Amino acid sequence: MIESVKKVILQSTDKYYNLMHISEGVLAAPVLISGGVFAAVGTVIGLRKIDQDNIMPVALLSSTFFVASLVHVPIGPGSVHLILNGLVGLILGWGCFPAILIALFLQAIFFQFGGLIVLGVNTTTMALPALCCHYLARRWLENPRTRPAAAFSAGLLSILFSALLTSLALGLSDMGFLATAKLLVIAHLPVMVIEGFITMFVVSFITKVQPEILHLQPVAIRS
Amino acid sequence: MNTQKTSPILFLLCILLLLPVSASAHKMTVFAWTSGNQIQGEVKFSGGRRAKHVPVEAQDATSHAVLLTGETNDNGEFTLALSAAILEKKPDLLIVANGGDGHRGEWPLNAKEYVAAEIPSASTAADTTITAPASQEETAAESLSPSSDSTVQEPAAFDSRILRQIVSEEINRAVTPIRKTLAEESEHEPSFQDILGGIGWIIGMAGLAAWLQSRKKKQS
Repeated sequence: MIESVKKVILQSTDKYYNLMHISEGVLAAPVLISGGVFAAVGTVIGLRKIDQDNIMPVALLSSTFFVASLVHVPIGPGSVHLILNGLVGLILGWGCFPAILIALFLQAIFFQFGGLIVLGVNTTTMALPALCCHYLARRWLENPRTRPAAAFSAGLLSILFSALLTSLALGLSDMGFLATAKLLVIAHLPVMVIEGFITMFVVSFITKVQPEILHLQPVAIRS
Repeated sequence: MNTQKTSPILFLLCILLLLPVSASAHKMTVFAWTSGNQIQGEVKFSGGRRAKHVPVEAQDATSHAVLLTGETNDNGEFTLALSAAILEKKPDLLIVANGGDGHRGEWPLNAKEYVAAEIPSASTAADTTITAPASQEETAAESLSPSSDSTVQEPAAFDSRILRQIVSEEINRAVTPIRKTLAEESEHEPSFQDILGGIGWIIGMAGLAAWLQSRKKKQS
């Protein structure tokens, strides 16, 4: 077991594992279409939930997501970058769909990361786990005692779910689900922990500065 | 608009912008050129790190039929020997590297680039490295008179053939670094300005959305 983990880690240093920028020409058409449908539905719901007061937080978190994936974290022999979709989901709820879609769209046209055809799939693999973490962690966020743990696990789990969802997309396009999932999850273990801590600190900072963003009046959810 | 609400996120964004920003791990780039009867090339990730042990294949650019397959070595370099079938037909090629993790890069290789390459004879087909003078003579002699077994050589024609091969090899050697530099130049790394531009776009879109919403509110 330990040997196989070691082997996977060694392999992962030879490659880069990238959750949010699946290249064009890798995925099968059914996967592309279903990813697009999910992203479209999520974006429509998200846009409906955004009211005038929430436009700026959505835009700022979209910018944060846009920049975060360019921040290179020099940890271990591998190379990872931040994703921060857990934080985006935690604060925005359904609003994470339009926020992530726009950030990925700009990255695709500015830097050719990912691509326009795979935009739907990449948005779904990022935003759907973020949304799940929003609903999973929300109840524990309201309690000050469980808040740090809830924020930490939201940051960690959203990356884990994203890795699994990306593996599923690749697996359904004949890349082999289990092998890909193993590689993606292990390669992203450091990111999961880092993002868990980042999400925890940002959440505790926000609760001190402006607690209403998080639980009293969640930003993108019209109460 | 509630500015209080946005200030923590704005603060986070500013911190992120201060961190060292790099573009590694987002894109896989393939670069290939021909040298004699081989396609040589390298596979990199943006940021310059080499992609090791990544499967590479040469496809027909129009039909996407896989013609050749190979793998990159520890330096991210690969060599594909052009087969006789390709040299006969000379289709436009597409060199595709697939990392298996969602990364994929391609490089078009026009038929023009290897139109000078000759079909290797049976004796040298196995020998994929740059042929030694002895085997070159053999190749030249055999392709001159492919049907006969005679070893009679015509000195004049033979010399020009060898000379052409040597010259093209030397030119290749001299031009390869220039090709590499050109390929690297064409790769656009995101600069700080690009990133700020992206943020500007997002804020601009938000402004537009806010304006549209306020107009809707006024009308109703």
